[in-house]
Amino acid sequence: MSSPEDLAEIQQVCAGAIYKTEGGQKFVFLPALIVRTGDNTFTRDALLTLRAHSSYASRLFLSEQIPGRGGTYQTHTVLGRTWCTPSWKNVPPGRPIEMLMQHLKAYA
Amino acid sequence: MTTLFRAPKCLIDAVRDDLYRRHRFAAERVGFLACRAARLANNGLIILATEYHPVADDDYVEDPTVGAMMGARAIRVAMQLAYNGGREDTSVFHIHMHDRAGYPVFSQTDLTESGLGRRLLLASTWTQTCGNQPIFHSGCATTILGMELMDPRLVSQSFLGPDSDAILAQAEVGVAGLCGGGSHVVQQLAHVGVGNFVVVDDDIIEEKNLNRLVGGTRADVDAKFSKVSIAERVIRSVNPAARVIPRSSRWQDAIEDLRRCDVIFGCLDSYRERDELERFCRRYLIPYIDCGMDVHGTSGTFSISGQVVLSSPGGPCLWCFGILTKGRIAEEAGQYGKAGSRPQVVWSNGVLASIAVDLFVQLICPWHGRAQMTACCEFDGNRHRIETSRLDNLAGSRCSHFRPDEVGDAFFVTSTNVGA
Repeated sequence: MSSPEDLAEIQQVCAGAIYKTEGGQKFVFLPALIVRTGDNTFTRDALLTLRAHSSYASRLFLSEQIPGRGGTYQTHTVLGRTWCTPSWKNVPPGRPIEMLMQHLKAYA
Repeated sequence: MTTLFRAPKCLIDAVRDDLYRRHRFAAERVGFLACRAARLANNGLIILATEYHPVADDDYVEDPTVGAMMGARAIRVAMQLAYNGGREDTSVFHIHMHDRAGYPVFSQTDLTESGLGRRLLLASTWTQTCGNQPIFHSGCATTILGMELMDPRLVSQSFLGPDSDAILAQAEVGVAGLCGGGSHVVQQLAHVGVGNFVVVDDDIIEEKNLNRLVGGTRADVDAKFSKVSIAERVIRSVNPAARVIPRSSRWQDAIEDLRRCDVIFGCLDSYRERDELERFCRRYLIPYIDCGMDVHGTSGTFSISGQVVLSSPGGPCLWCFGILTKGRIAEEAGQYGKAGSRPQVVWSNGVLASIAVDLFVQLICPWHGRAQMTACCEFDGNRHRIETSRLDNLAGSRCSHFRPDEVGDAFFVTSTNVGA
């Protein structure tokens, strides 16, 4: 779930993706991730949790909200930086690329 | 440019133990601190010490004109340390001791060879005056020298040390959450003489808060005053000279200011927020004092309980103490959005806040030997007792949750302006 192969796979989508850890939690940092919403495209730094976080099976944190998408956002401070994330549930831990794709459906 | 230096106590202890060893010909010992960094607003910087590397015995060179002279190999080792760090924010500082009383000052040799601000200096008596705690403002010595008379307002607490008024006046303290617990903490810190505050809460005072929010009035409720405005007013009524940064926001939106703080108090309602705030503090090597209170039970059988935890980098954390558990966070998440407020009372908030301020003061102005860097005090409000058994059970243990290298900005960006 956090192997070099998994990372290589997600780097196909976001070239600068790297693993980060904090207090026993593991993340994939996705700099300048492209988020597509219908006709629009947004660029956001993102942070994907690889395990449960704040009682969600996993979460995708964004550097800024996506206007008009994602519903209600919460703010969290992770890795010394404040992020926002929508209430998008039920993305279980698995291959990071699959988790990312599931989370991005919140903005489609 | 503001530059702060922080180090975990366990690291400072290791430094001191090494630097106090005698060398066969050098009059003093020297070493290197490997550090990471974090950004402050206005191009400021926090230097965060992560490892200590003593200079090997054979790497000293005999030189009667200085206390210690390093050979070329010692310098190469230091340069290799910086290179091995592999991150843009890795830095290496030369460190040695000045065996004198009072605030640390740079010697003429320090100033001549390195220049103020490039070299860290650790005064042996820093431990006595500041409890060996990780507050270290570069240049602090120059701003404090010449201050001989204690602030008359603080004469009754002069037992905290001859420089204690200056130490407290220089300290910058963050308080997140300003209702029952935080309002008590803020009031006491103002009386104690803390000079700089970052107070954070996104709420306004409501009628239901009047049973416990210290300083809050009926008129404040009518005027829909923010809790940070009330905290600022309380602080200024005691100490008009205090610098107060009120942030009427969630603490997550005030991290630029909180990052600069020497100590942070968390008086937050949720376990999830307390978890995140402790993680934030660990990353920036900030001692974190967490206050929590609860009332359990049903009609006729209520019990009041609470706890204050002093969580310092390297030591046991809220997870180690069992204050935070996955079960508690999950249970809390299940309650999300449910109507009704949690019961809170002023007298128990006051007990917990007093313990929290006690832990803070002993941390930076210890009056009974060496500072206690870790504490877990549990309050039983029905039996009027404070227990420390959780700490006793973890005596001497290190935190297994936070790694020593998980410090500094995780996304550090080198600026060409740094040091300009």
